[in-house]
Amino acid sequence: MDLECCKVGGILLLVILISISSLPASAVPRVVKVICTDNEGRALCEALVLVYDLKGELVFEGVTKENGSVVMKLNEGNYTIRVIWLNTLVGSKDIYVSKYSLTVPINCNVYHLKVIVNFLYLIPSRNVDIVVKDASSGHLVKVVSKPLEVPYRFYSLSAEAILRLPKGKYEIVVRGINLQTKHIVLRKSTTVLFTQVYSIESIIIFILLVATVITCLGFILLGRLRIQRLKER
Amino acid sequence: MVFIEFEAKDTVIHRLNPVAKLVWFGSIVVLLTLYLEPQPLLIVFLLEVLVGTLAKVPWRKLLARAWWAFLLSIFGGYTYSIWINKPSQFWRIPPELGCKTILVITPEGTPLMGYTAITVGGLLWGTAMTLRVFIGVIAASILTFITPVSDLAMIWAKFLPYKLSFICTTGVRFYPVMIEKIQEIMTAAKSRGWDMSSKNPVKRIRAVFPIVIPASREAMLLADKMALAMEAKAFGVRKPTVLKTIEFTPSDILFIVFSISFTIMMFLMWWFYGFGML
Amino acid sequence: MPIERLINGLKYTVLVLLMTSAETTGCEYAVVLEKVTFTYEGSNSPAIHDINLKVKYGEIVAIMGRTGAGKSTLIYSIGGIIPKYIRGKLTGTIIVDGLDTRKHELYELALHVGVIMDDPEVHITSFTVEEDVALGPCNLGLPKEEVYKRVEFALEATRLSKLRTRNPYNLSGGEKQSLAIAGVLSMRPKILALDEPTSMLDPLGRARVYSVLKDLNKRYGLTIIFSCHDMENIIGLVDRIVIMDRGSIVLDGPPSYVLQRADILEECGIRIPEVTKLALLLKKDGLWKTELPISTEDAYHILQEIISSRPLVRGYRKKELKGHVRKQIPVIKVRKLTHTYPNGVKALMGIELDIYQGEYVALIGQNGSGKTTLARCIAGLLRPSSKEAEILVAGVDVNKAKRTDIVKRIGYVFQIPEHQIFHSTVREELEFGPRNLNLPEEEVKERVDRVLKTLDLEKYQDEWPLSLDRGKRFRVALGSVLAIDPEVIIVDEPTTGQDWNESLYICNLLKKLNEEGRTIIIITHEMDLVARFASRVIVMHKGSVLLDGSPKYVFSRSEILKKTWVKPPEIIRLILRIEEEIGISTDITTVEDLYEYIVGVRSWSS
Repeated sequence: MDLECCKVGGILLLVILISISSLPASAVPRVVKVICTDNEGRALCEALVLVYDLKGELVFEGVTKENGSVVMKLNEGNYTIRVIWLNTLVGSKDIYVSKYSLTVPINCNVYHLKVIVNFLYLIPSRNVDIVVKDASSGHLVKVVSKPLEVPYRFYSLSAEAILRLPKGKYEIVVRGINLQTKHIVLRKSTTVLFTQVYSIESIIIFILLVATVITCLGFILLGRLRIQRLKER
Repeated sequence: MVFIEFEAKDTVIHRLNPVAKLVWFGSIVVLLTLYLEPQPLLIVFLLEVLVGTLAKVPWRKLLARAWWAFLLSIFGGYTYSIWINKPSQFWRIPPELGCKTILVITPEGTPLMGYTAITVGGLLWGTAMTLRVFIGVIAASILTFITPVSDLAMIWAKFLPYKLSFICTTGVRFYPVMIEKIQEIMTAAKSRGWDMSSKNPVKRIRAVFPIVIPASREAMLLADKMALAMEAKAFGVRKPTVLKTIEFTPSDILFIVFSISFTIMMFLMWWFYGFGML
Repeated sequence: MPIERLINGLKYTVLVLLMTSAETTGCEYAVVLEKVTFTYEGSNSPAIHDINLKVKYGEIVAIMGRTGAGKSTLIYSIGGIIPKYIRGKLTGTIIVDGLDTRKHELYELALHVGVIMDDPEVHITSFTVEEDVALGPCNLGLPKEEVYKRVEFALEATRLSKLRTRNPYNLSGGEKQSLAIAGVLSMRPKILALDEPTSMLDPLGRARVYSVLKDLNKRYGLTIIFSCHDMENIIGLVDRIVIMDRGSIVLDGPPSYVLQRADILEECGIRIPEVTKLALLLKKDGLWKTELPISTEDAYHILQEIISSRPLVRGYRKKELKGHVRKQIPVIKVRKLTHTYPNGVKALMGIELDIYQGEYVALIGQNGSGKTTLARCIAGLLRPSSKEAEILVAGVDVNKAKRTDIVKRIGYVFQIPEHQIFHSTVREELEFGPRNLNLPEEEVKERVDRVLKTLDLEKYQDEWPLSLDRGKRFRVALGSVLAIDPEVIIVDEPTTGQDWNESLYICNLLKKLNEEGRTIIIITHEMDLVARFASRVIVMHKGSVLLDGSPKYVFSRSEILKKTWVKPPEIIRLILRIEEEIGISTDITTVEDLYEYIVGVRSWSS
């Protein structure tokens, strides 16, 4: 009798196990974390992340946080993740979600464009606007409003803005009291220098610098002349 | 005496009006109070060296007089800088740069000391503090070197009430006389075995009396007799005649404009760009 | 602006009128004192009483007397400082240039009589000579042109024109006193009242000041009244000498008249010229029958006659005066002593010197010759700038030894005793030194008692030292050093500002200490005292020892001494002249010695 019960129990257990394992995996969603970084390895925040399934249907739409990540729950299966930055596709990755959680790092084609705005190389022009347009379409891509930052450097002083842009052709317009435009093709992280844009404070400082230099030289020359004249007398 | 005395020399700086010299000195002082970072202080220092060179300042003599002040500032500045290691202490320098540790001295939780370390930010701060003392001492030395006290007295007479300017003038005039008297009194006390080398604080305080009492007495007697002598010279009877007037030559105006424009420029760079802020 | 010019002009006119007011009144006398008595506040007895004095315009009058005779009180009364600024009771009348001093403010009186105190520092407040002289006229609000005119006059009159841009701090003592005079002179007073103007000066400084006063009187007609102790130098300068004693005038007349009353002068503690003193002594013996001389020239011819009539000892031979001869082991040994001050002044140049136990050494030379620097280096109070210098005092190297070890061997008494005095009683002051040596209390008491007795200060031991007169203050300062019982005592110009009697007392005191076995080194400008007391004279000049020998030897080298502005005492000049004339040589250095030789108490010998 006992032996008979054991046999039955074992068969039942086997049946249950088989039935569990044959359940479809897609029925339990997995946590998938997508981390977007730019070309420099910096987190890309406020990037639009779209997830499509194999049929091409959008299954998830989200925006990356400050650390460049976005978390979603996906069922098992194949997906395509696309990252959109400034209305441009900057990164894409195909993934397979298995029964485990997944972290997907995506290195996006977003490059650093450092815009340095100085007056005559010496004096930073902080109170300027930077407008970035798409060179082909003329659409506004990014605007950086004044005042610009003047970051700490050992040997130089300049007003800077670091823009993160997708690869492409751009027109950069820097507007202070005057206006200066440059066209660039962004294929990698680049620095663009504007040396003839002046703002109010840079003009004032420039005038004071000129005054300092002229008065210093004038004083030295005048003094020397005077001493010479006195010696002659 | 840390500063060097006036020497009559024929240089463009010596020939300046005392107001111009004071404006220059004032501008240095203003800039010193602003900056906590070495770079702008170095610019101020270079300009000061330019003025000193034009004035033919005897640099060796200056260094011989002020070396201890410089050493003290180096010691003080860099010693305190070991506590400059927290992100909240930096305004413009990125914290990752400012707090970049070169050498840990005492770890976190050390009693009394706390966490101390040599950091990049700390070194910058220490250098700035040292430079401040250097620049201040050199500027004051240059001022005393290029300006006779009688010129300073003229400035006081112009901008202060007569009696107050007379007090200032007399104070400066009698300073070397009193120093001489005090030195004489100290020598006289030494001749009777007086010694101030004891480490006992009570003995040290007591050792001051043989000097302080005669010196105070001498000062009061001098003041009393001098007051009498000045009464006899009709002091304070009516508004005194001003003999020397301060005249401005083109050189003076240029120098004043140079000092002021330089100061404002550096101030604006500090104001707009944070140049000089740590 | 025209209004300002008008106002300034009016002010100037009023001032000029004030200045000339006395002349227009037709008064013959510049200063008139009638029955003047003044008692200081808190004092029981008057400082001056019943003074009647008249000084004519253009006179130059010297007021002389011992310390405490009332000279300064008289000067300050004439200047108007008493009773306005020094409290007390004043009776009588004082009229100066026609003005009653009690009815006018000091600055008003300053336009008529300028007062100059003994310390010139108190008069000088500016940074250049010119500015200081201009201070008075500027304070009066005079127009610029008038100020400049007065400054030029004052600088010219006091011979300071070439020093006009100099800082007064860098002037010599005589130049500073001249500047003090110039500062007062620019107020254009007609009368100058000076309180001991030369007491703090060296012979060069004194000569300068007297020369300036002479010029002011002769060229500019100023009336000058000054107090002093220095009879010898003022005889040819003054029109009148007023002798005071215990607040009263005892003698008043031209120098020739006053000096004939040499006995009164001596009683009043005034030093009379040595030649006059000699004549006075000879007069008592009936040997001097004419008027008392006041100069070497006056005395010489008469003395020559007297000496040639006296018998001389036979068998004399000329004795050569030698320099200093080594006697025994030195108590002070100085080798390779060079000192340069931080300002670059070379004070001592390689001094090599030995001073022996029991010597009474006078260190002389003009100011700046290095006397004080040498003395202080020997006393260990000044570290020589040269590292090779070796100074041994009683076997101890003063550059290396501890302070307590040095002071046990050598003591230093300063020129201004007030610099050494800070306790509230004389006794405490004397105890200070021994206490610094950590001596037991009984020994401190015993030493202080001994010193009080030696210096005759027993009855003052509980008094405040600064309430004592100058002579006693010096004794307190000396006592405070003596209480440490050093073998060597250096005394720096102990007779400055002292009257003759007090100066003699001090030197006798030092002589007494010397006879007890102590070595005494005295820095002084008083050549009479040097001749009288010193056994050895060291003459310093520009940081080196110029002469070293007995007083007679040193003073006989007059050509060499001319470099240093050291004037040998008159009596020695006289003696040397006589010796040369007669063809003998002696060791006479004092009036008393010469008198004894003349009268035959001592014989002229080889």
